[in-house]
Parts: sequence; structure tokens; C-alpha cells
Amino acid sequence: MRTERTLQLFIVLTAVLSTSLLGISEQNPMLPVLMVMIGTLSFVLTDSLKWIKLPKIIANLGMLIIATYTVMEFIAQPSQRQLYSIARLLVYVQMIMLFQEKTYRIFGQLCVFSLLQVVVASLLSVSLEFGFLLFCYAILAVVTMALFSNYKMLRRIQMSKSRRTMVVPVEDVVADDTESKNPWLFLLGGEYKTIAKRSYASQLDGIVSNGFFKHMFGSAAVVLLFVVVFFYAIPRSGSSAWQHPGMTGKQRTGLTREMRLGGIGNILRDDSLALRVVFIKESTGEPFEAVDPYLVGTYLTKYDTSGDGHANWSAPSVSLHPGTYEVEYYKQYDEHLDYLVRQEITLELTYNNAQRSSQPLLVGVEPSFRITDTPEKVRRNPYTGQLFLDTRSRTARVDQMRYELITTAYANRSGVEETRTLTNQNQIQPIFIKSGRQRRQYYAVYRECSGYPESLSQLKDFTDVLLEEEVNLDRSNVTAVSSFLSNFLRSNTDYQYSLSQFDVASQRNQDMDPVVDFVLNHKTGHCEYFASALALMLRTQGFQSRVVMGFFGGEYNRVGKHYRMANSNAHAWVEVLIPPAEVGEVAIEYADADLMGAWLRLDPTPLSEETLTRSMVDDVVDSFEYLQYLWDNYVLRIDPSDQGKMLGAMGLEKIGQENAELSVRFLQMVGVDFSKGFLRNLLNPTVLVSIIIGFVLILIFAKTVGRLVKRSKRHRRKKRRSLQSTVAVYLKLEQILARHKIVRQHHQTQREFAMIVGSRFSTSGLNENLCTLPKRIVELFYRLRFGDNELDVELESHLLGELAILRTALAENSKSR
Amino acid sequence: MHKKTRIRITAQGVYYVLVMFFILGGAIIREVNMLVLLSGMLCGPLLLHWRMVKASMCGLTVQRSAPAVVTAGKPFQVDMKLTNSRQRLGSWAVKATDELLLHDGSTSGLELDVVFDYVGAQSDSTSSCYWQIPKRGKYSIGLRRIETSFPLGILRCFGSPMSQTEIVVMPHQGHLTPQWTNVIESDHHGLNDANRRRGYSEGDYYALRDWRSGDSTRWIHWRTTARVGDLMVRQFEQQRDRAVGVILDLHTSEQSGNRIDSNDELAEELAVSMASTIVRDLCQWHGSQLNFSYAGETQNSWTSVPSRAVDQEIQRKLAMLRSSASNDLSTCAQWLGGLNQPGLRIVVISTRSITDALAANPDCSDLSNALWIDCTDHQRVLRYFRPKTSRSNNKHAESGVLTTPVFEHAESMA
Repeated sequence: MRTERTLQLFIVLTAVLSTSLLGISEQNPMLPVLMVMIGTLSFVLTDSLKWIKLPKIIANLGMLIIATYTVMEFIAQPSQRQLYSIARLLVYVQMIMLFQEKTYRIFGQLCVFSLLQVVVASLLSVSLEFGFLLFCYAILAVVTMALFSNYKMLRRIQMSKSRRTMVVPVEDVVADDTESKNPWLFLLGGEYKTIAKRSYASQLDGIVSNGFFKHMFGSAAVVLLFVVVFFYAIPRSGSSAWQHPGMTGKQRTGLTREMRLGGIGNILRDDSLALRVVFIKESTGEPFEAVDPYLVGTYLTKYDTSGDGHANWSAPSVSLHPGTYEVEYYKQYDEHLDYLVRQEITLELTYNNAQRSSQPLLVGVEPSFRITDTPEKVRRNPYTGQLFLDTRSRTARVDQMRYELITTAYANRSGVEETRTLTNQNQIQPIFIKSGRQRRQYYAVYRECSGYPESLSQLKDFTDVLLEEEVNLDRSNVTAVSSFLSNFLRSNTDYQYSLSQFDVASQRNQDMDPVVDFVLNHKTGHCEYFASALALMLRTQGFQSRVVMGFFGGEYNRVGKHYRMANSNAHAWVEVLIPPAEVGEVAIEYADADLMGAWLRLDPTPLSEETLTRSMVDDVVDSFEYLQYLWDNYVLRIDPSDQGKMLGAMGLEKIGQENAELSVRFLQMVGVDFSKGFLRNLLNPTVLVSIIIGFVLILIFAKTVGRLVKRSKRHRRKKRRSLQSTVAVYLKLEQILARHKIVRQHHQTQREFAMIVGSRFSTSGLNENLCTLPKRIVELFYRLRFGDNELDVELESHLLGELAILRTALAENSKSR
Repeated sequence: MHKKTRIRITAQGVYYVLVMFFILGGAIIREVNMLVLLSGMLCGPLLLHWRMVKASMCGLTVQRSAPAVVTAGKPFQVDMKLTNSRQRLGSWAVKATDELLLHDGSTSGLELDVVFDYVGAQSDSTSSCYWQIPKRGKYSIGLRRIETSFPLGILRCFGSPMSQTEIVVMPHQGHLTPQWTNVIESDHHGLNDANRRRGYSEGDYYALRDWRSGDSTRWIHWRTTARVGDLMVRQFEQQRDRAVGVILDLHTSEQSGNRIDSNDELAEELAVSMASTIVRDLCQWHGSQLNFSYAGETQNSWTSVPSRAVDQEIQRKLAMLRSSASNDLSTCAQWLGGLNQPGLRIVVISTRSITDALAANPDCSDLSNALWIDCTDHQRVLRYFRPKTSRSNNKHAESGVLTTPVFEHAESMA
């Protein structure tokens, strides 16, 4: 009974853990809490006290109601959330079953539902806590399964009464005349019975009490080790996808292709993870601490104002040939170049659900270039300069994207006076043009970045006045003017940074353009307002400017040596086009290319006053964050190239590669090409036949090897027995001789000894057969001991017979003397 | 005992493997690493289980100890010892399935699963069970299978060792009535004293005689033994019992052929049961001489001092004895006549009437004066022989089913 109680407890724990895994995935804490309560109640009321036992009909009715409700919910949900409905159905059914009387069927069904929940949760969750709980679940599941299988076995034995009892029916016996019952009927038939002496409960307790848990937990540890090896050894084919499927359906804030201004509301600070980026020096492979990097997301060049107090920045939509979307390689790439920095970015993707064919924006420090590890799906719009994920050929969404680019943004710090503290990212980005296409693109962008609506005339006037007041300012110098204006917005205490527009709602003039309203009127806003103001002010002066949206700053994780950027690190800044004359000395020269100018980065948003100090808690947080980073990169998103790198780190890359190439070529010969897609190839008849043949061949091979091993074991055992017999025969000879004081000396070999004994026997008058017996035994001994032969049973018995004769003859001989 | 082990997948294992391949397939097709992890968590236990289940069965041997002779309808205990000769690994949850085989080697359909909860390395474990066989005869208990599916129940490793233990089931024992006692009690020849000293105590000293097999060692008179040089025992009571010669006549009619009529079978069983009880009674409590003969498929006779060994030997024969249409009653009668024991009281337990018997065997006219107990007439039998009365027997006797307190207790515990 004790063990049955333990099994019930473990089943409840398994159910709770699987629901917790689901709750983590769904980020719904109510589900695990509910399951804990239900599990506790069921364990106490149903299993221990047996007060509540749901009859089968009521349980079935309950499940039917839940199924109906879930189906309705399933239909109503968008496709990304439908999996949640299925998972919740499993949880609710489990809750009902926990209140039923536990038979082994119920236990089995609870285990299966628990496993299905874990499968669903695995598709939904990306967090480190999930991984940790999953390993705990694996250990618990192994132990539960062991308890369950033993319980089931004993319960079945207990219930199989038909095999333990057999009644031989008594045929009708004709009653005698008195019609009295014959008391001897039992002699004819009867019950054959058999029963074990111990009850099944005590047997179950006996199984569990003898080091069972120690054994099972040890086995579970071995299983976990196997899981790690299995996970990293199993070959991964196909494209470089292997990203976690986008099934979480989480609604994230993040980058969009437009910016709307003029809304009355608050922007909520969202500290959830947006991306992680690791900077690595390409020449040394060492982490590179880039301070406060600017990661560009989208360039917004078109400004529209609707006249009702709202305005809109957007990127131009240009239809281009798909071939032009390639991200360029850095033409002067050399891995030894000191200034090249690799950026490994893991980005939480956002999809614009309003557009079915939305292609998520990607970010990076610009200028960025592709490398061999950059996924093919990472593309760039040459006009807008935006990086994006090409999802046209993929039907499955992914939650995160990991990709690598290199950048030349850290070539040197020279060129322009730094306008922000401690950044070593170049502030200017020179524009070199080689081809006519590039030139056309440049002029298109030039046009896009010029001009402003007529409604901004007040802004122009304001800017003109502002610039006129600066007597020493060269208004034709783009750099000087833009720096001045940027400083003006950032340093002027009249302009306040705030995420809320509620505070200034009363001061808002809905008839004005929101940017003009900001600059001239309420002077309170967030980075988008500051950036928009600067960009438009520059345009009013005839300069080309654009608003850049991306990420800035973030937290540097000292443990993992990477930047963690939250959604709250999303930022907007401005880039202004400066003429070639103002560019100055560039870090990188391009041969046969014209310098058309450069983009100068300006950030007019006031800096935050708070200063952060690190504490031990930060180190702990960083460690967990780093573990999450490792989990994301080395578990959730490991792909064939990562596997190749890991094999290479173990020195196995070449071996793997060679074999892979050979096997790939072989497979392609028979018409199998996994690069075209696993499923399509699987449905190929050639592949199916090859798999079946392969499987059969493996089975035959395994059986043959097994038989050979068994045969060799038998052979070795036989040899060992034979060897022991030979040694025994020889030792017997020595014993017999020792009785007659004929002992082998230490310096004598067996052969020498046999010759001496033989000659002694011949002088003693023993017959020739006995004289040659020692020599024959020793020869046999040598042959078997060193010559790999085997002793025949007949020969052995013959020799033993001869030894008996020798013993008798020697005894007679010594008597006669 | 030769044992070749095989591994099979259980029904639970089939589902497990299907789920595992489903998840692995999904992981590869949809390229989801978490599902690869999950399929590894399913694959690992399967592989571990495969190795463990195979290793658990190596080096296991089973020995059974059971009484060679038991009584029909009485439960008897069978002990099974599982020995693990491995150096290191213990074995959990090993199930041995015993089956009851009939005398011709065919299976009776009765099986028992005995579970050894744990047997450590280089040690053994014993498990006991009860069997109850209602009909006399020769049986064997064979080890049908030894298996384990520990720990996960996905795979099952089993072996089919050849191991059988023979058991002879003696006939049912009943109660002999006081009327039977009157039959075998002697007249008080030469005694004027009507002091009947009966009972189960040893009684008063009567005389010395030679020691015989079956005598208690407490009866040895050491002084006389030392003087004479041979064992001499005290005889404590007079020869009170009459010399009795018992003949068991098992005859079946020729018309039935191979098919035994249930009436005939009942008569046969009743006759054998009665004869068995009488022989046991004579060997245990009464008489200084046992004269017994039977005629059925075979014929045999005993005349000896009653002892336990003789009793066992006769019971074994009675366990296997069957009736025959051509049983040799004459030989039994002649043998009994040849004993030349004065005052020999002949009792014939038969499956036919005296008239039929004498008509078939005219040379058995000596038996006409014998006490003829025709077992086809159960009322007549009841005068001398009754079934053993227990509460359960009374309750179930009419239905032909016997149960015993041992099984009732064991089943309630289960």
C-alpha cells in the first residue's frame, strides 16, 4: 500500500510538473497553481481518504463538456493560439481523472497526457527555466514509469484469478432412489487452486524498498547524459533553419516600418528581451566590448502629416528584383584585418500581423556585410538599407532569428567630434559608389531625404531664427549646423524627455503638426519626437536627413560578454548627409569608387541622469542571463553549421565532413537529396525502399555480430575449460611423481623434467608406454597452453587412465624395492 | 537447466516506441531542437531498459522444493528459490510462472505467477505459494517461464527453462465410523475380563518382543536389549484388533470402454478413498499386521507390520490406481486365503455388488463371507466411511467445490 501511495504521489507530481511546463510556455501561472490545488485535493480526498471517487459516467460527462468547450475555443482562436487550446484540454481532462479511482489504466492515461503536455510545451517555450524543469521532469518520469510498470504487473497478476483457479465441473450424477444428495460428489470434481503466500501489496513494497530509488535515480542520471550526447550527435539536415517555431504567439513591441506621431497616450516601458548581440574581433576571435552600440533597424525618409495633429514617418516602398536583395560581402575581407568586428545577433522577431506577407526587420551595426555564416534568408533592401528576414519561401514562423554579420563601424574614431560619451562606434558612414546602379540608388535616397511639407513653415522659421542667432555658425556647413541643432535639442532644458503625452495633452494643439507642436509648444516628448524634430529642422535648411529606428545602449553582461537589449532600448535618432568635403579622412579606402559623402549620426534625445552602480545581484542576474543565452544558442537554435563547429572543436570536423560528403554523394546517386527538404525525400519510393533495405541490413548485421560474439565467448569458455583440464592433467602427473619423491626443480623446464623422468622410468623397468607418458603429457601441455589447441575429452580421459596406471606401477615398484 | 533468453517488446512498449518515433519525426521534419531533446529523453530510457532487462536475466536460476507426496484436497506449500550468481547487479521484479502439468505431460491450464521482489548479487530469494489439487494422481509442477520487465515495462526478457517437480497426490482421506471400528476390533479370546482398554495411549505393559520397523524408540527395553544383544521393545497392549484383510476391487463395466461413466468414476474414487483411509488408519492406530491387496489396472498385495513407509508406498500406488474391466480379483482372494491367518476378517471394498463380483469370479467364493462394501451404494458406504467434516466442506460439498482456510486467508490478504 505504501508503494501504491508513492505511485499516486508521483503521478500527481508528474501532472503538476507537466502543467508547470505548459504554464511557463504560456506564461500563464494560473494553470500550474490550479493543478497544484487539484493535485493536492485529489491525493488527499481521493487517494488517501477515499472520500471522493468520481464514477465513470460522471467523469466521462465532464470530459465531454470540456472537450466541447475546447473545440469551440479552438475554432475561435487564431492559428498561433490553437495549440494552447489543445494543451489546456489535456490539463482539464487530467484534473478530472485525478479524482477518479486509480486503476492502472487511469495511471497509464495520466502518464500519457502528461507526456503530451510536455510535447506541446516544448513547442511553445524558449526559456531556460523550461529546460531545467524539463530535465527534472525526465527524472521524475523515469521513476514514475518504473513504479507504474511494477504496479501494473502485480495488479494484473492479482486480477488474473482465472489462471490461478480452475474448477473441474462435476457431471450430473444420477441420484439414488432416496433422492438424497451424494456427499461424495467432491471426489469427482473440485477446484484446482494456487496462490502466492505474500500479498501483492507486500510484493510491491518489497520491489520498491531494496535500493529501488537509488537505482532509478542513477539510471535517470545516465539517461540525461545520453540525452546530451544524443542531442548533439544526431545529424541535422536541411537548411540553416532549426530555429524555434513561432508558436508562442506573443505580442511584442518592436521595430516597425513606420513611426506614428501625435497620439495622446503613454508608451509603456517594456523590459522584455528584444535581442542579444555579441561583438567579436574577427582577427582574434576575442569578445569586443563595444560601448553603447547603435543597431540600425529601419530608415524612415518619408514624412506625411494628416493635418489632424497626427503625422507619419515611413520607409519608401520600392519594388525590386529579388536578386537585388542580397546582402553584400565585404569586398576587402581579410580575417586578419584589425577593424573588422563580427556581430552575432539573436533577435526576437516581430511580425506585422496586418500584413500577411510581412517580413520581419532585422538589426545590425551599420555598415554591415554578410559572411559565410550569414543565413541566406537575411536580406537587405538596397534603397532603404533595411535588413529583413526573407520569409517568402518559408511557411513556418519562427520566434527568434540568429544571424551573423560583420561591420566596419569600428575602423577608427577619427573624423568627427564625438557627440555622445564613450562610444567607439564611428559616427560617420562614408558613401562610396562604384556602379551606375549604386549611383541611381544614392540619388533616389537623396531625393527621399529631401523636402518637407508646407505645414512645417513655422518650423523653418523657428530654425532660421535659431541659426541666425548663432553668429559664428557657418550655415553652409552641414556638419556644423546639424551638430548645433542636435545639441540645442539635447541640452536645452526647455525640452523634456517623457514617454507620456498625457501630461501635455492640455497643451497640445491638434491643428498643428505634432513635430511643430513639440518644438514650439509643449516641448515634451520621447526620442521619436526629438529625432523627428531634428530631421525636419535639417530638411528645412535644405539638408538631407532621415530618421533611423533601431536599438541603442542595452545592458552589457560581463559574464556572457554580450549585450542584452530590451524593447525599452528601442530608440530613434537622425542621420544627415554631409558632402564629401566635410567627410575628412576615412578609415577605409575603396579603390575605383567615388566618395559621394557620408551619413553623420546625430542623437538629439537628452541623456538620462541616472547613474548605475553594479552590485552582486547584478552578477547573479548576469549569470542567469548568460545561461539563458547559452540555452538559446546551444540548445534552442543549434543548426547544422553549429554542429559542424562543435565537431571541429573536438577535432572531428574533417572526419564528419568526409563521411558526410561521401554519404551525401552516395545518397544523391540513388536520388536522395535532403537539401531539397526532408519530407519530400521521405515520400520518394527510392528513399523508402532504401530505408527498409538499410534497416534490414542493419538488423542482419547486428544479429550476425551477436552470434559471432556468442560463438567466440563459447569458444573462449571451452578453451578456458580445456586449458584448465590440461593444467590439471599435468599437475596430477607432478603430484603422482612427488609422492615418489620425484620433484621438478625450479631451474628445470617441464620438458627437461619429463626427459629426466622418462629416463628414470626406463631404468626402473617400467614399460615403454609409461616411460613416454610424462613426455607426452608435457608435449600436450605445451601445445594447448601455447599453441592455441583444444583438449579432446576422450584424450583427457585416456590420459587420466594412463596416469592411474602409472600411479599403480610406481606404487608396485616402490613396494618391490 | 538450460535457459535461452529472448527479449520482446510489450504492448506498452509499442505505444512508447510509436510516440518516440512520432516526436523524433516531428523534430526532424519541423526542425525543432526541443523536440529532438524530448525524443532523446524517450530514446535514452528505452536503450537503458534494453540493456538492464537483458542483464537482469543473466545468471538467474530457479529451484523448487515441493513435497513429493500430498493429499488430494489439502493445500501444500511449494517454495521457489531464485539464485543470482552475478557479481554485481541485482534483479528486481522477476516473475516465475509455474504451471500444473497432468500425468501425461499436458498442461492443466492452471498457472501461478510468483514474483521475486529483489534478489541481490551473489544471493538468493525465496518465495512460497500454496497449491491445492482436488483429484488424486501424478502431477508435475513445471516452470513455464521466467521473465522480467523491470524497470520500465517497455521490454520483456524471458527464458523458458526446463524444470519440473513431480508430485503424487494421494486420495482424499475421510473418517471411519465407529461401525468400522467394530468390524476390525477383535473378540476377547480367552479373557474373562471385559476390561476393554482402548484409546490412543500406549496402555500398560504387556510383553517384550523384537523391535520392528515403525516401533517408537521409547519402547525399547534397554536392559533386555543389552542382555539379548538385539533390540527388544515393550508391547503395551494386547493384540486387540482382529486380523483384517482388505481387498480393493476396482472394476469397471466393459460397455463404458474409454469413456468412464460418472457413476463408475464416483464409485472408483470413493473406493480408493476409503481404502486409502483404512490403510492409513491401520498403519497409524490399529493392528500389528497389515493385509492389503488391490485389483484394478494393476494388482498388488502387502502383508506386513504397519509402518509409515508401508503406508506411503501403498498410498502412492493408490494415487495412480485405475479401475479395469478385467481386474484380477481372484488373485487377491487367493493371496488372502494363502495368508493362513486364523480369524482373518476379510473386507472387500468394491465398485460392484458382491453378486456381480462372484458371478464374474466363481473361484472367489471365499469372499462370500466377507464384509462387502459396494461403493455404488453411497448410503452403505456412509455406515463405515464419511467425508471429513469442516465448515467449508459442508458448505461446498454439494457443489463439488472445496475450499480451505489457507486459501481464504491468502485471498483476503491479496
